[in-house]
Amino acid sequence: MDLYFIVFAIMAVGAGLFTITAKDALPSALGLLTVFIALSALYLHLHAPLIAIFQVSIYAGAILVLVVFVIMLLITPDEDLENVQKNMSYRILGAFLGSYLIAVLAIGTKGVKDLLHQQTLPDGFGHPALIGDMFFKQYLLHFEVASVLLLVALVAAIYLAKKNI
Amino acid sequence: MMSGFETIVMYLGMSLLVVLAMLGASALLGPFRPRPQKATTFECGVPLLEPGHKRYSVRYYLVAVLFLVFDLETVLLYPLAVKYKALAQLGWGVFFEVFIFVFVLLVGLVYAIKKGAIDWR
Amino acid sequence: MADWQIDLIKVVFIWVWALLIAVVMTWVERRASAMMQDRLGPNRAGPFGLLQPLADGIKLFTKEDIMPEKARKILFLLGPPLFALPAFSAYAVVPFGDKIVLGGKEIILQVSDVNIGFLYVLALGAIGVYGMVIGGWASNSKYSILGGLRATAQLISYEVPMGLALLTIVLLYGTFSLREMVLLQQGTFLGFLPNWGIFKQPLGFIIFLVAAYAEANRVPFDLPECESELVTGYHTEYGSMNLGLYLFGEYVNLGTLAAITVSLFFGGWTLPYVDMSKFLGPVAYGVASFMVFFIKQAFFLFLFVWVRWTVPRFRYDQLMGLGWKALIPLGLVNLFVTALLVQLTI
Repeated sequence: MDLYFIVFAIMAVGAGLFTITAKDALPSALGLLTVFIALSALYLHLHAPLIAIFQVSIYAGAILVLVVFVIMLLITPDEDLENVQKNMSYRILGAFLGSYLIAVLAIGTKGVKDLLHQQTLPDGFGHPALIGDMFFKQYLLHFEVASVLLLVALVAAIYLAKKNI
Repeated sequence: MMSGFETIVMYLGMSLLVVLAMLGASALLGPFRPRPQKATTFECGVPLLEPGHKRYSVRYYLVAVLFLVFDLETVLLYPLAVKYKALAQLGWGVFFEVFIFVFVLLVGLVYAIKKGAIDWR
Repeated sequence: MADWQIDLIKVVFIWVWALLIAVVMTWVERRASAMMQDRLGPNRAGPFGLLQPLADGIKLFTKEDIMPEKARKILFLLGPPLFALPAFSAYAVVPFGDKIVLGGKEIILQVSDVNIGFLYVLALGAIGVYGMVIGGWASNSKYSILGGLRATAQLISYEVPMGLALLTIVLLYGTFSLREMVLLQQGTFLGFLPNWGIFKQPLGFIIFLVAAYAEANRVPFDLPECESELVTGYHTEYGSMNLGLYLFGEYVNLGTLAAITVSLFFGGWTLPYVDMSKFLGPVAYGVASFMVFFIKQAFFLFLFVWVRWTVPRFRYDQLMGLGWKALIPLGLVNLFVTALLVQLTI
């Protein structure tokens, strides 16, 4: 355990707790921004600079902008979210989904122990060129399917918003 | 820690320090004489008629969705682009990989333009 | 000296240099605007009004911090630092010169030559959006909110063509490191042209430049803060150093964009046809490369002012239309053509 990891891990967890407990939507979004930045710092620590940059430019730069726009679109500050939060069915659904997520994470991190023993990294690990190589050789189909997935998202969003234009 | 990033962290720390120092100095040097007139929202000399927060056009949302899609596209292409010259020596495979990927999204862009998702009127 | 001490000196030096460029830029902007409009401009503080930025700085420091009554307090205070921090930090990967030998040590004139280079600049630009949108929203004034929304929508719209132009450059050079890109631009191209990015990527350069003006909220794309519609946009309600951070951040952003333009498209610190390291000593060479870079950067900074008084402002739908209907398709076509050319010439 080194200091760098501890600082940013605490930052990520703390900001995450703030995100789900904040009363207002916009400060909550800022909490999420802090989580993303802390995670990006942790990726840097794991020798994955490209993933760190992706974390900031996609999650913080694109997805969170979308979230902020939705907040501005839907919520005026004098209006509160109490009605939604008091609804019991939302809470039960949230508890169910939350425990499901924790279970998935617990199963997913089972193999991490084996990784801890591996000390030497392969040559050029985490370098963008290596990932580009993998996109071409191993994950060619996945890469192309990603573009179709993005197209579907685009068309769906326009279709849904179209009624209001 | 990756080589080179320590200095970037140092640089970020420097920025943070100076920004805080600037705000602190401004708070210390500036006077503090609050008057209710000073705290009014800017308007052309008349009291505010309605609150500033309203619901804004759904088009901003659409622009954000479009941006998300195309940002992901460029970002996914970066690793491939950096390796493009080396891969191009193996044949035309990588050109067609990039071509198909971008073409699919170009179709999406044409659809968005045709549907008027970015027409601002 | 230990390595970390050299790094610290570099960090402080380049940080101060970046801020100094921004400060002088405020003076250049006013004097050059005055020149173009056939008036004098600020000429009372110091020779040629050179101390005017200092006077402005003192003024901003000694003003009262005012908070509008309807503002969200914490968010209102968070806005300016959130905007200024990424703007101030982007200089860290700009290569300001080749290298200089001091006391037997070879020092690269760049804070950090990381292998993800300008992706770092793009990522910081993406975070800078929040400073505007949060500041605008927290002010709770319709001008601020509209300014913040417009700024965000415009910034994200023009980040895509900028990303596409940069993607093409990466495809051509095969690296993300700005220093390596500059080194690849030495020599000549087709026998007589300097081997600069602009001659290999003319379309990419135009797309990048237009996107850069939109990213910096400059005329002709200054809709988020156009004074005739929105007072001053997202920072309408700000005063004292809170406003100062927004203004400084914008000018530092101009410097960053000019520096990136120079290192991607205009050969960075290198001179065409001449290899300065051949006939200059190690120290003189370091200083000369630094000066060459600065002169090129200064030209692009001046271009920002020049364009401001040449081109009229766009309308908002035209702005969005130009971004999505012209620049992005052009960027994609440019990507195709470059990929094809690289494939054919390999």
